[in-house]
Amino acid sequence: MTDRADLDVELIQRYLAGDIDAFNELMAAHEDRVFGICLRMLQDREAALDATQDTFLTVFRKADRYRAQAAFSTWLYRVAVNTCYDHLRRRKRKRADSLPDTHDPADPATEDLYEAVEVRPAIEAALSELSPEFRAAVVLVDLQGMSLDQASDTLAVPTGTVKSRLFRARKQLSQSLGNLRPPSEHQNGDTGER
Amino acid sequence: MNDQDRDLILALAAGTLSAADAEEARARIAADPALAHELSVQQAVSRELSSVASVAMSTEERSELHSNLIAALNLEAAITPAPVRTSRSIAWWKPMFGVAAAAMFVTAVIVLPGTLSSDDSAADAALGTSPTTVAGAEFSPTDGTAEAGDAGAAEEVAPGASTEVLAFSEADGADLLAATEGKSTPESINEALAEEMPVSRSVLDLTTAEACIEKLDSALAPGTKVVLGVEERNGDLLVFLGIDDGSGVESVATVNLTSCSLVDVDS
Repeated sequence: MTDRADLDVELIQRYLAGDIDAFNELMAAHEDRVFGICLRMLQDREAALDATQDTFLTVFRKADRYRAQAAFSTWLYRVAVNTCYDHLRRRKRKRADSLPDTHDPADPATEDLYEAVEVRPAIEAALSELSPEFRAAVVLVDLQGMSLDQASDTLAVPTGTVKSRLFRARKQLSQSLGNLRPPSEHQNGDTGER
Repeated sequence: MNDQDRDLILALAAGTLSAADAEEARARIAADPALAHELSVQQAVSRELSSVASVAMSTEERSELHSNLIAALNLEAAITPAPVRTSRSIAWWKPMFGVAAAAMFVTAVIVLPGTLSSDDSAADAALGTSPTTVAGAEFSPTDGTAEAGDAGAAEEVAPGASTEVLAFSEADGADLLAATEGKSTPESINEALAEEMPVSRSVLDLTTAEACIEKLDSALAPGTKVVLGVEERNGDLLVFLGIDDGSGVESVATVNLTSCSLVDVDS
């Protein structure tokens, strides 16, 4: 295991022994990355904060079951992704009758959403069109910088599955990003005018 | 395109091939316009996404997250000590956490001394019609030992007071009885539980627990009641009560605090 992984194991043990400093150290080491995953998956800052909280609650409540067979971070990020899947399922059920499936980039409300998650609107809109499984592959590999093997461990699927999802997700994103270019840019591109 | 081509493109896009392998792969892909197009797509999207700045929580968000987690996980180092409530007619409990013991979560056994009466004190307490009285066990906040206290030394308990207790997962009364049988002091019980059981922490709402256990008193064997710990099961909170008839824990009663019912007794 890496130094970070070893340190996490030690911190978990200390946490279970009642050391609140260990809790603080674990949070400091992982909270931004968990939040980053949740924000990119859910594309809503408040929902991402809720999911981040749910993730850490789950992990700390089950910390006594952690056996250090995999890195703590792998387990943590897997819980984060699964928590996001749950949030997305709930959101889908909730919005089924009231909201359109896709974001309209021209909608001012959607622009607020993009601003809230600090990602370029075109990318955010393209990500939102991906299925949760495809989005997770892209978020972990391209946005969080995980290797394919790390993403495989985190998602608990074979590496080949991650490759397939990533490959297809990027193709879909490419098409969406092309389609989402502002009309002026399309025009310029089409005519070669600058 | 087959999986090998796909993997080759992904590896090239990720830059994980050796120089020699990458050169060979580029040559193969350059010879196939479809593969070359796929590679450019994969690289462009990956590059675009990688350029997205990482995100971080604001100070306020971080603070709120920490506060919520600490509260939900009962990590408040010291959870405000729950003073002892006094009762006119029944002996009751006193959480062993004192101010000085705030950071010591392990010593979480709570003793409910004496035999609980079945008069209307619980109703009084629930209604808040009058303060109840406790001839509480006296605990040392530092070493977790308990002695019989007197009602005169009892303190007021704030409504809704809570204390930290041990939390088990998938425990049952038989396990807890096996671990604590014959033990009579909170210290020895805690030591036994720490050795025998995987534990974490949880919080026990003293007011609710007090009222429920009082209500169930007639169904419980007489003796000192010791809260060994709690477990959340299927959304319900179970409390494990060790019952000490004077010669150490002799039985363990499992009480569903959510429905306020006696689940099981192991003896």
